[in-house]
Amino acid sequence: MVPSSQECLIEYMKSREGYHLFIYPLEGRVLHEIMGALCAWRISQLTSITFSIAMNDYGFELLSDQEIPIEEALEAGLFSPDGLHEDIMHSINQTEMANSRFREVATVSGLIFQGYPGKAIKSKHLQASTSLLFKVFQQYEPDSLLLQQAYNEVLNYEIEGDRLRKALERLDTKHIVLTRPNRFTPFCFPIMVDRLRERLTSEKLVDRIAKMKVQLEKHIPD
Amino acid sequence: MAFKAALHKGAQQLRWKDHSFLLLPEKALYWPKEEALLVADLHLGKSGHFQSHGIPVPGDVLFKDLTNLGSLVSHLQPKQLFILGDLFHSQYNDEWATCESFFQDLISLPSEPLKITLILGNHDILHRRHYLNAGFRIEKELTLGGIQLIHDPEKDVETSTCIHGHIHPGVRLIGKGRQKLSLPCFWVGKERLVLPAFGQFTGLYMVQPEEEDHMYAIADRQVIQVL
Repeated sequence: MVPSSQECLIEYMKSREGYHLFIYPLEGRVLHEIMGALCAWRISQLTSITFSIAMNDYGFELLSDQEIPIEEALEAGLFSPDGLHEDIMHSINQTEMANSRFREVATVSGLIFQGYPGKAIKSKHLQASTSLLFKVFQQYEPDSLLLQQAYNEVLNYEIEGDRLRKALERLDTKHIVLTRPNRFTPFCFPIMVDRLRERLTSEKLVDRIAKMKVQLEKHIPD
Repeated sequence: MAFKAALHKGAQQLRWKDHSFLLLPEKALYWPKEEALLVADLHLGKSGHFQSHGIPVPGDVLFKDLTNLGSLVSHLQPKQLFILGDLFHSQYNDEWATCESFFQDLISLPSEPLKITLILGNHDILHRRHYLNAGFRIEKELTLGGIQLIHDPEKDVETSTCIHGHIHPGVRLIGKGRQKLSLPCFWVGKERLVLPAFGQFTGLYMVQPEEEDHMYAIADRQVIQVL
């Protein structure tokens, strides 16, 4: 179905991959990224669950291997602006958003030397991946200015100040239409195939491992 | 002593080549029969190395690595410690002084002095006297209980059974709902047992196991068999 301007469409369906929850606030990709993380964080507080998050200009997807308690989440105020700032800080911490911002910060600040144009890097021994540097900083120098910069950039560029709050207020006044289509819809398909995904979890690592298997180049039948 | 080791939290027993081992969640291997602790790829001083080239990396990594090693030794009380290469990251920097006094203490504190053997790796390019000052015995490789201990076997003859380091093995796990995880692991092959990198400031190399290989991932201070 196509939602009217007073409605917000939510599609929930099951596939071979797991359980998909598509929400279409129609606020643009940038805002959907943080909204996706926010919703994932809020739902993950209701139950222990792991999400893979994708988005485009129309909406975002939360994908999980287990049932997503969407009705319960809506009742608990999934889009409520209450406690927004805190929840956002948590969702930034739990996803890789700050990590990917840190890549730019690390390059500009000289933590990563990318070599001069047209010349190969000579200082190979000084290379470390930004994600490794991010991990080390987070653990041993959490108040580092470079880390703060990465967090601030997430907040300023991706949340764009008040836009998120306004978008959520708008969403809160809309009529939520929850559908359960039995196959993928034209709306959800482009989001579903997006490979660039965020992750957020509230499950214990050990419990997650128990459900996973080693990725092999050659597929070995079970 | 073996009893104490068996109680080590999160560890995993391994029977390999007619020997019993303990895979420790601290990314180290304990060999009860030889009362030996084996670690590889500590890359101590890496933060100092970066710092001396003008890259501001937190220096506390070093202390965490040394504390981990110290508490492991005081808990298991091994007679021997084998470092399978890449102890110190590249050229001399200030952090070596800290390492040197740490290892001197580590050797002399137990009632019976701990024997530390450094098996040289590609990053171990300090002058010999630094290692000797710290109290190490230096070897290129050695054999213990019929098993060769070496840093990187690729450069040598491939035939023998060995325990080695160098590659910082990691395993990639996938699951339903597009879940992915990369974790450090012990890689147990037919003729080779590869240790994960002990140091905190180290990356991972995702390895492709062959048939009949086993992988033990390290997560949340636990060693878990995943293959």
